[in-house]
Amino acid sequence: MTSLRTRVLLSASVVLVTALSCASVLLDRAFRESALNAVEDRLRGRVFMLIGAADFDAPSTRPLVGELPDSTLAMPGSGSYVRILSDNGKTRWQSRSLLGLELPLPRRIATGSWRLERATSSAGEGLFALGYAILWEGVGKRKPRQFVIQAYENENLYLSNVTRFRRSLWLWFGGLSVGLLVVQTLNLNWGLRPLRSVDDEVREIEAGSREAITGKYPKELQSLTRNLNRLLRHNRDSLRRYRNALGDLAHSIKTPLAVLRNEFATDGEMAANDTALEQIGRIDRTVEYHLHRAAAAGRSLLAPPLVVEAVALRLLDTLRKVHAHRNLELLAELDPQAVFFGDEGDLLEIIGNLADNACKWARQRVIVKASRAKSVNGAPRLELEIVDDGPGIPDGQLELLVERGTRLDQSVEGHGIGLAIVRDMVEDIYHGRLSFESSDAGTHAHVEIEFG
Amino acid sequence: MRILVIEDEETLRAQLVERLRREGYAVDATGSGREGEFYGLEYPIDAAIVDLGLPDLSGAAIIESWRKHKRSFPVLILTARGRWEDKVAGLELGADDYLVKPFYHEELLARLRALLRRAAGWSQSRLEVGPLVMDLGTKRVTVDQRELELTALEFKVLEFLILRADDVLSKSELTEHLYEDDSERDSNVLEVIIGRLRKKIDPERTLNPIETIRGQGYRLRLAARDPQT
Repeated sequence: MTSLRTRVLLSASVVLVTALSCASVLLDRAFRESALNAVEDRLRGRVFMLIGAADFDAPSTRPLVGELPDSTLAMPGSGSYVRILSDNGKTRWQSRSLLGLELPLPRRIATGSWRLERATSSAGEGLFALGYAILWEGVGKRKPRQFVIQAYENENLYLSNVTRFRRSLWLWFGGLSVGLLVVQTLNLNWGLRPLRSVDDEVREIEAGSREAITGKYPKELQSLTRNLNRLLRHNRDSLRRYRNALGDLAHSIKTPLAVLRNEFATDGEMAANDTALEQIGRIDRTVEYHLHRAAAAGRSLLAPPLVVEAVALRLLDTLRKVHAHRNLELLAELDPQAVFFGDEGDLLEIIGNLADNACKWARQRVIVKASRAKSVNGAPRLELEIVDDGPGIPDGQLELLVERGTRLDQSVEGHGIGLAIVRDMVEDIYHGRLSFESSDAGTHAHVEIEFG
Repeated sequence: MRILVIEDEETLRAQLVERLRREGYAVDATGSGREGEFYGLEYPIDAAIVDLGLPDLSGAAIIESWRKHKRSFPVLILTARGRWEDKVAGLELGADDYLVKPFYHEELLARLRALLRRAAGWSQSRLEVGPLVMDLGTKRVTVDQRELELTALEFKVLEFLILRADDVLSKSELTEHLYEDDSERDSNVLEVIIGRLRKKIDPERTLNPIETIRGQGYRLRLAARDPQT
């Protein structure tokens, strides 16, 4: 039920099926009623025909019946029967078709009224029976006598009519349902096409092959797409703008710091200079740290995942240039599947600081490893490992490095604030984990980030 | 060695220029990106120090332009932004090293020396040409372990000759890389210095490391270098 299309389609089919079922039940009932009316009309015609043909004034107790125009009444077992009963239920006359058959007595009928009922003959034939009670005044001294005229018809005609009707009704309604559902589906596809293409475009933005939503969309979607575009542009612009602003800020603070540092580093009174230099160093580290923190973009929405391999290789090229004089071996073991859901600058910052640090301490070799793993809940996970063969970090300092909340001016000597920046980036911004393992054979820095 | 400094902050630029001159470098300096780009294209620069955050033309654009015009001298970028994104971008554009402000002059000088040496194809800071050894870090020159007493100017000339060993260097090329202004250029001074250098390095005239190529200039023979190195 997560798809809009399924929901609409399902509800439409439920409505359609209910409507068609109700309609077919009503139609079936109406047809049966009219078929029954037809039966009654036919039987009534026979009753009148018989009354017209009979002479109730004949001298015997039995009325005299002339030739009847309906030939089926003359054929035994034909399914069409008529008979005349006296008021005590005795048969006074019956058509020749009733020869050898017994019929049950009808229920009492008041004089002058009609009664339609179902009956079964002695041969097991299902019949419709219409009875009409008359009071014959009689001529002369004869007392008035009551007769019941009964006409019968086999029910098969009615039943087969109803069956035929039902069959064609189901056929037509079934066809109609299928046809309507197909049309409904097509309709829905057409109607939802703008939504689907917005979805496609958003996916393309996520995959990085598109910058904005450009298609022409119906009114209802326009404000959505317009605002989405605005949001995307705003995100990109504001990140760029505040990074530029931070860069300008860094420039305008650090250039004077550079002047001061070198002014104090060259001449003047020693003790005062040392204090000044120490303070300059503190200002520098604090500014640097907070600028880095502020410039971190964090996990970006609607951004394509970064291929770690490409970013790491660029960085290694840079490090090779910067550390060219050290003749280090910079190796990469990068899983091409490893991806980072976030800002490229942030990833460069994480790998850059760790790898640069490793280069500073390494004797011969630094290895940068990246691999992709799946976390318990199936979210992609990135594991980075930066290995050097340097002298290792002394135990006490290792704790300082990874301990949270270490003050900046207590940063471990020689490691600068790079590791503090990485720690913040990994743990606070990407909610990952940074850990170090160190021995006299070198240091392993380990980063794990889960993109849930 | 001729160094170009592009830095828009006047005090910092003045400090840098003063310090570099004290180290014996010839220095061209400007606070304008466009002017700096022009210097790099037109002057015989050996290395450039470029601030990335310039008001008129960005440091990155300057480096890109130089590299496009096949100027291959090493470039050290100064940046206030410590972000790796910026460092990587700068080095991908063709810079060779970076330094984040605020920096110590000593560090800058060390990086600069390393760049100059690497650009000349030397991988160590000890330059050895046969018995002649120059240590760029300590600024000591020895011949067969005998230390030479060199003036700043003599050191500069010898450093340039060693870094560009095996190349024939004309007098004008030498003076261009050693002096900032045309007014100081006097080939007689250069001849005198070369003469003094020959005497100091090789008082018995057995090595003759600096050759005079008639009508072309001077050459320090690399062939005299120890075959093992």
